[in-house]
Amino acid sequence: MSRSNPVLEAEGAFRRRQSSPAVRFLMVNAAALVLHLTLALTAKTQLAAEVMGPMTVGVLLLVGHGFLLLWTARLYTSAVVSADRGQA
Amino acid sequence: MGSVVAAAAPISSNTRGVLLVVFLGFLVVILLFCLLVGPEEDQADAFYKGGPSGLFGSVLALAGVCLPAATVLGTTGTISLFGYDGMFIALSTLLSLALLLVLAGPLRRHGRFTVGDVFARRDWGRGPRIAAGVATLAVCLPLLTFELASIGLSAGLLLGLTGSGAQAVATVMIGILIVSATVFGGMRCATALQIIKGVLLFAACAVVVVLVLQEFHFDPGGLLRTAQSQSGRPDAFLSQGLGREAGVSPALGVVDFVGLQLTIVLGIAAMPHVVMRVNTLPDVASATVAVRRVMHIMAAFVVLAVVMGLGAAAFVGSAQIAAADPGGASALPLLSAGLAGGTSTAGGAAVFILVACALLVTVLASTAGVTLAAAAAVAHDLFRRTQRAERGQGRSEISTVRWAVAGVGLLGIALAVSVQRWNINLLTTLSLAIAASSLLPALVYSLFWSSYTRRGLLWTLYGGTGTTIALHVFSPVFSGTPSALFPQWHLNWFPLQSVALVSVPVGFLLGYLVGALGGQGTRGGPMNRDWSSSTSSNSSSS
Repeated sequence: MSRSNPVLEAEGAFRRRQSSPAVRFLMVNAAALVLHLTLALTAKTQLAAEVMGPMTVGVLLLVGHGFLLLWTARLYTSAVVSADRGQA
Repeated sequence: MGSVVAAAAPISSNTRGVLLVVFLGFLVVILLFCLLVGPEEDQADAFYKGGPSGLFGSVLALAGVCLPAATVLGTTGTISLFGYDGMFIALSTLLSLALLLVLAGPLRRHGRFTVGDVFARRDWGRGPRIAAGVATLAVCLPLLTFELASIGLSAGLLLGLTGSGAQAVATVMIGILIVSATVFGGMRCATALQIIKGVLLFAACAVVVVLVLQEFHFDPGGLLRTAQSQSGRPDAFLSQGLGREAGVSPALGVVDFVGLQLTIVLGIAAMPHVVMRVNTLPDVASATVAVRRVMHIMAAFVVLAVVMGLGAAAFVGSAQIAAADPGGASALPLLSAGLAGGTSTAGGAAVFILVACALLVTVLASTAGVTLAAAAAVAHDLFRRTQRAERGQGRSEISTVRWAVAGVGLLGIALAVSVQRWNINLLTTLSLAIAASSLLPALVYSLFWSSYTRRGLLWTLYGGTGTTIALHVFSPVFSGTPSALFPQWHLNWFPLQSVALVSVPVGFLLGYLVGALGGQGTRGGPMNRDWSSSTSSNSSSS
């Protein structure tokens, strides 16, 4: 069975399954957490480097991670609420 | 730096007198308030869910549930002691809401009151309800014990009551008051307390943050520099590893750090009182929107906690905070005692009393919520009879749950008094780890896996709970180390302090393997008609 048949793909026989907003939201945030933990544990010297006065790369990364979470949460919530309204 | 001296100075007797009067007045007002806002109807639905409190009220109440006293005091304390490690813990608390955001909609769609109700939508008999009740009690009792013991300790420290006898009396008196309020007020009382707590706590934290930043002419860089220099280890304050327990190897320290973050991120969303609070929201969309707004509130609190933690390190000094409590729980009270000229001045005394009252109502609200969740598990899951026998018997369940609140509360008070002299910091981690290892896998499989079986559910709940408790008993937090619960015992063959790295995969694996390979014949299970009709009627009525 050749899953990469261009004719069948063009006809939409093997349409890629769309992942749900919940899966995308969790995958992005889980990947970010794993990456952040890896950096925190393996690149201590680099994260402790000062960039803006006494502010270190590690502290800025914590702030950035928080913003990423809030931004992806906003996208996820709007997707869920619009889907809920569509069902209603 | 005059405030450093003020923080080190004892709290003046005048301030303590005023604080005692304010405390007592506050307790009486809260108790009367809870009696007044109690459920209007003598029905289980009104007792477990309370009345409509609007989206703003619901968001504040949910934020209060996700922000217990242990988090408020612990986050500020760990930041003041461990710098970057503490900030990472604060971020993990925020990240835990990502999981709750995804679970909130399905929980609200399929839930009714307790965690056991989510499993009861499949007609699997009483076994899953009893297992859910047991797991809920295993999560709530350690947390309740910790909260009640903290009440006695905090009240004793703030009011200058020395000796374990005085602290035990404070635990018993305040504990009985809050349990009585919950017996009569139910979820309405808990909601009212959470809303008062949310407003008061944020006001107190905002005042402290403004006063801290004012000392540095609103220059965060100056605050960070002073916190670093006062921490005792300026070079390591803003890099990972300062929170590592003495004597633990760097490799184990790394694994423990990851395990602690995992415990926080996965545990909070599955806590029974959080699930119960989500079930009070009107519908799926409002549950999702409410959790997102709670994320904003928590993000704001994390910023406040970082400033307060750095402020405590800068003004009080890490050494003095650690001397008062190795976990850092005294950082916020010590900081507030030293601000605005110290407690000997009117302004300083007012700030200290505001923070003390905010902390008191935070502990009261957390205790009420956890007591209610544990009592609901006893009355609604453990002692529940068959659905048909239950129809139209809301009154009998309400009397059962009121007795259960009294019983669970008194048990919690007895446990809190008996562990007063012990180092009980492990109890909050134990609660979170059990929730992450048993309730979370069971909820995730039950909500999202149609082939989940009854046997898989029971193995997840009992296996996850048993594994977590067993690993804790054999870990260094239980015995064998100076900071352990029983330092003189030596059962610590399991090397990790954070057991979630092992127990969470075990919980998920047990559910998956038994569910996929068990082949019990009740795969998926028929939908429980009694359950679905009751939840639909609840949804429409709310």
